Amino acid sequence: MEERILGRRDFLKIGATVAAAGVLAACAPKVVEKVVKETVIVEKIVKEAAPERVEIEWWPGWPGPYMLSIAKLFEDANPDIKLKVVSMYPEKQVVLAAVAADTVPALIADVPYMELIVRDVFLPIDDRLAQIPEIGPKGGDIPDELWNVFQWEGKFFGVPSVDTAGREGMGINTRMAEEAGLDWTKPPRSWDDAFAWHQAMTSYDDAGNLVTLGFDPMAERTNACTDGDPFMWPHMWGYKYIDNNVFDIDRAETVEYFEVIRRFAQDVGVEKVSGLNTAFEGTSRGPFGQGKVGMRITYPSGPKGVYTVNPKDKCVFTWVPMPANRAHITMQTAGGHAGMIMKNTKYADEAFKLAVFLTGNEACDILFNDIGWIGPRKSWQQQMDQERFPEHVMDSINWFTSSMDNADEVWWNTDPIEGITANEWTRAFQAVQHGDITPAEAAQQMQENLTEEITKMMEAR
Amino acid sequence: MSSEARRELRKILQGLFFISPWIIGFQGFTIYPLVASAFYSFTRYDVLRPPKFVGFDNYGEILFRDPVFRQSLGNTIYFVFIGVPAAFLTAWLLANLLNTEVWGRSAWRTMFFLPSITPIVATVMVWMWIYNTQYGLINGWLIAQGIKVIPFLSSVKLSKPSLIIVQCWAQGSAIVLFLAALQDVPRRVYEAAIIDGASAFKRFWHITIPMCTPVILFVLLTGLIETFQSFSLPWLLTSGGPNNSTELYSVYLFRNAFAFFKMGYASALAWILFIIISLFSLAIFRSSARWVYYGGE
Repeated sequence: MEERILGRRDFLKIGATVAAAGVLAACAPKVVEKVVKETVIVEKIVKEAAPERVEIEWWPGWPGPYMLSIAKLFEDANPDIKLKVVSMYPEKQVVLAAVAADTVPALIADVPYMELIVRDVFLPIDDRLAQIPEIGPKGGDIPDELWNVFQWEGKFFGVPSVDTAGREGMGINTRMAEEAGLDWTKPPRSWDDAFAWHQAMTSYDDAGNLVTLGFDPMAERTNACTDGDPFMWPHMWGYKYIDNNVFDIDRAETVEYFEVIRRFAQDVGVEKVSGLNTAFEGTSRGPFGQGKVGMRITYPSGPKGVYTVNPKDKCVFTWVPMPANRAHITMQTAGGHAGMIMKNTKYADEAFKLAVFLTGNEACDILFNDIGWIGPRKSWQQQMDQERFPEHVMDSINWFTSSMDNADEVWWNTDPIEGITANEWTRAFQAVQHGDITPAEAAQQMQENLTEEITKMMEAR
Repeated sequence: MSSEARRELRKILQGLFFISPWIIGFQGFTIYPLVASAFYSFTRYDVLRPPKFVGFDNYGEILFRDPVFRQSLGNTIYFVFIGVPAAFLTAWLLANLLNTEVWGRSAWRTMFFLPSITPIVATVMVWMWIYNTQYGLINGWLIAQGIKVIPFLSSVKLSKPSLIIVQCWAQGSAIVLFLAALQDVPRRVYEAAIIDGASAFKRFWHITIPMCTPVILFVLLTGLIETFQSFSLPWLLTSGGPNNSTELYSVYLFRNAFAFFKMGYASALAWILFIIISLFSLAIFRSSARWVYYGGE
């Protein structure tokens, strides 16, 4: 038998060794040869002639092409700054991972602002506000209420930006109102009137299936909100559910609005309302946007959003209903979004520049023209293109922009555990709607649970 | 050191070198998270600030004071003890049907297997349409017939069964395993039984099932473990609703970790789940000595 020159085992060993050596060589620093050295010297000369660009990462909060357009404008105006735009919705787990790994962006939006503020994730901007007196708090072009939403322990943390105006508007589908014999020019002012409108606009087929719904008491803004949005039910009843980190939920007013919510749900059936919502989940403004629900309390982006998905129906926006004893009062809330500078960023100055740029006319024009979002500056709101969208859409947008000035009361929340609070509200609402607990029990449970949670959170600070 | 010992050592080192990528990955992505989560379960920890040691507080609160834990565990146990047998029976039945001389068997096998490799998001999108109460595949037809719709995902009573149906639909992997086990049963055993006059049912009960018990054990066990940890389906399809009827254990765990910033509490939930799954798995293993037949014995 011939002697083998190279056995299989030897071949594999050599092959593995060569592969490992190749991997190590690829990872090893390259040797700079004379030619490469000369190239490096030439590159250095070229770089010194051009200004040094700083690259900062921006998580704008919404993955639309409009954000990329804004980024381009900003870079043109600031040639020393390059933006790396990460287009995604910044889910909580993504933000947590970035903070834990210290890979945070310089500027971020559309996050649970207060929960992160109290956990020392963002940089206070008080020392930078002196640079922007024209828009800053205490009399600037951006209303004080919007600055206060992002304030904690006397410090300001965010520059109010996109989709920021009065936060609540009761949208009414005028076609459905007319079909129900209702005068939409005289919208309901009390929850009793709203319930009557709801019943008039709700219809069923012969089998008892829900065809149209008047109002869903758990839709959108009437749901438990977080991320810069105030939870409005207590405000309708004229009180704050949390003040100076003390919860005030177990009270008669809470029981009253739980009763209102239960009344609407049980009139139609919780399953039918839930089924209708699930059927249109993911579309703009859900079944209201599709012309299946007559009324919905929604955001300032509602007018354009609804028009985009359902241009044949005319929707108008007005004040939210109030309890009977406060039906003469108009109420609005302040909230929205802000550009937040991450505490550990090395580019705080550049991030602040970008945050301020987002409030400017150019950025706001892009957002308004593309998706109908309202910018925070009063001066910009006054010069919005009134021909941009149909008259009824612009009327509703104008209503939103003037609502904080015209409202009798303007409210906002400062809830450091807003995520837990939102979950508690949702659980309580659903349990009350399904008849598992009474409104009084719901109020008491929420008071106990949330007081315990905030105590633990504050102790950990 | 003798040359023999040196050669042996070199072989060991070579072996370790080749498996080092797996060892590093295992330590980094399995062992370290395990140990870290065990540590964090004894702390109040929100990821953003240093953990604060609280001893057994988290465990005490979970076991004795958290009603949502009990509700989510109850939902999960329902899901496991109804869902796993349902999924098993579906897979077993379909595998037995595929084991017959049916026309287009390869095509059927492919069709049954495809759901198990379909991405979960695509699966959810399809089933949301099927279950849709306004224009879905089922309810759209019912509305057209003038019949009351079925509130699959909006009814507290029907939400969990609706999830179980989706789970049964995606049993392709179990079907393939059962089919392999069925085709592994020696034909001569069946022939001998036929000669002895055994009916089809007796052959199925006394031959087919016992010969497949090892695979049945595997499918039941892995099904139990996976279903206890089920997250994607309830999270995407129902988000735990309606009225928390599909708030499964893993969904509640995820909420605590990432929605409530309570990573320490979530870690304690994870370890309690580990203990629960271990106990059930142990019970199945212990019982298997009575009903699992290994051909070599």
